[in-house]
Amino acid sequence: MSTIIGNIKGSDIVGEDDGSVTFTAGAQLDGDGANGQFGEPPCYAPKSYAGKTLDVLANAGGPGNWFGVVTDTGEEDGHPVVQGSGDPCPGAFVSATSLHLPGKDGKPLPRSSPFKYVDSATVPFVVVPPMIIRGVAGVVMGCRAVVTNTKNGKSVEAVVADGGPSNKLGEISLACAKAIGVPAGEGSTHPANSGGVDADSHIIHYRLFPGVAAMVNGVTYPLQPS
Amino acid sequence: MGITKLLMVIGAHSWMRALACLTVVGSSSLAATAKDEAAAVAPTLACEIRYHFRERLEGVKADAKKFSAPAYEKEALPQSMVAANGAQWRLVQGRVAHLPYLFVIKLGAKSAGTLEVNILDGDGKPLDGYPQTIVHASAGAANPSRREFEIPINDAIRKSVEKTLLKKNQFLTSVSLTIAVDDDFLSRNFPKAR
Repeated sequence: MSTIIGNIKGSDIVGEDDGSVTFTAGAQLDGDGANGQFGEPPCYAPKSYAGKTLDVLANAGGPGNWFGVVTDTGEEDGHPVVQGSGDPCPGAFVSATSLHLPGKDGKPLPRSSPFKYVDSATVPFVVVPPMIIRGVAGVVMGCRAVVTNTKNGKSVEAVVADGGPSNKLGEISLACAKAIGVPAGEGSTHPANSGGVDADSHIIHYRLFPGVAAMVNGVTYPLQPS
Repeated sequence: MGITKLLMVIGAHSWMRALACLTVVGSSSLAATAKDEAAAVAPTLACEIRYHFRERLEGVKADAKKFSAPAYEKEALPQSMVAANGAQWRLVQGRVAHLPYLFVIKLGAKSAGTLEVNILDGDGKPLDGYPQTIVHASAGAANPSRREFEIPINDAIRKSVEKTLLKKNQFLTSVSLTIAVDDDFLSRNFPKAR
């Protein structure tokens, strides 16, 4: 028998008999983790950066208070890590996801590596609030997810890769939005800022599989206990 | 634009919209072939204010991400209405509860596809950087359906928004005006009846 794990702004979070977790909500967009790993624009860069970015810099912070990018000290008052000549987007900042990826050798990557994080621009991923991360038995971060746009029937395999605010339900990467036909701010100045589906619409269905490692586009993601 | 081309454009949309457009263009369209571009109603327009924020996450490990993904709260501006000044165009004008500004957005008033955005303070003066005009802002394959405009805020507004709109551990990062042209997903009346 299914159980209600919680409710956020009118959307029930349901624990299903098969162990999956379902809810229906809108879809805000999260550009975090995009560092140009696969040739798409980065999420954040200094104002002097010539290329396109997915989000406005204000959403990453400013001098003395960098809450949205990786810093050299790991603290908000550190200096933002800037990608070097050997990185995917030289000059851009490094944006993080909650889910950390290992290197090719399976060992942890340094915090400053653009490849440590999941690329919002190319990887369909889901953002979940702490209520889900802490409210279910299985590991949520890195687990399999299936996201469906009930308006057009489009569905995509995704990975849970980032943590959202405690009172928000329904947030996805830009790649996920594109895959299911949700406006991803195509052509706008900062796609992550202007895209998405009205939260009140409740047309996006999410099914998470805690404890089951996601496999997306041939890549198996690590399950990361919180 | 000739009547044949106009009908082709209308035909590219759903039959219900075509019916609606034909109803609006209505009785005058057949007689106004030379001026039908001016007579056509600009596409629907939806506008919302987005209050972008992050949340400091509690109880995370030392090496974990300390702040949430960005998210936003929103306030919708009034629905667009059809205005007429020789041509027919769309107008959104109004205020939201958490900003001391008047928003005036016009689509197609100057010419088809021209988007005019103005944000006025309490004294009726435009904010820095406004008004702004974008040409060819109408929806279509060659044009993005959404446009964003940054809204400058001061510390007083920031504190007010954080106090009245956001929750514990959340802080405002930016405010933007998002405008969608002929875009179901932003409509305050979603799903839009067609």
